[in-house]
Amino acid sequence: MFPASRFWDFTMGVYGRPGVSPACIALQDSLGLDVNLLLFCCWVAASGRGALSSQEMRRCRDSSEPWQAHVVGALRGVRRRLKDGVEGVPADLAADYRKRVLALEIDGEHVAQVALESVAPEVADSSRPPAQRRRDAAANLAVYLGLGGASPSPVQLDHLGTILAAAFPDADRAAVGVLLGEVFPRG
Amino acid sequence: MNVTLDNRIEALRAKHIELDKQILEESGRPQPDSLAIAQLKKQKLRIKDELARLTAEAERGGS
Repeated sequence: MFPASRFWDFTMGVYGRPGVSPACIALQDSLGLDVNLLLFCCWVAASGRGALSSQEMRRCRDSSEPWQAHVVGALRGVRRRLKDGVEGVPADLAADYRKRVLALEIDGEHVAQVALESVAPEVADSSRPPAQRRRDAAANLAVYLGLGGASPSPVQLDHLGTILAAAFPDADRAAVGVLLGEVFPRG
Repeated sequence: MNVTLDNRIEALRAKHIELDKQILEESGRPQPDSLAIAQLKKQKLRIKDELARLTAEAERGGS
């Protein structure tokens, strides 16, 4: 049903690592960030596509927004409405229907990632050293958050660190924190 | 009987059941995390494939 997607495969690998899912959801809820774009920032860098300029990041974000807002977001709204129960429809019927909407929502995330991959730049340097890729990822996160004027608190920085460390499992967690400190200087 | 192979199959079955529970639990939350469910389902598929491979191996006599 879906074309092969290296970004989706990357997400499936990273998202199950400890702490990643709660970190992404916390950033989504507290800063209004799109989880797919947070992961995209990491995948772009991890795959050797480098650090994106503000313009490139804006283009990627803007290309993703309509689908997220009008399709995935709309499905989420329907699913939440079904959770509360709908007058005139038996609860078990609504529950079964809700499961199918949730499955569509998951497919919607998959579509979003395949589409995002299609607007990502080509791999610029396949021999880019791992340390540089980590720096690129931190820079991408800073550019993405900067687009919305978001300035992460220490707790939110820690969430970003959890995601970044999961995307680069060979990296030292403390070193990841230092990288983020460089791209998100305090005060 | 290949004890190691049987143990491995048993462990994978247990993991498969555990993943089912996690998917059910996540799906039942007021705001399920759709990417987490996708990831759990992917893990489940991987285990199913591995189980099919090992079961076939066990039926061949574990050679």
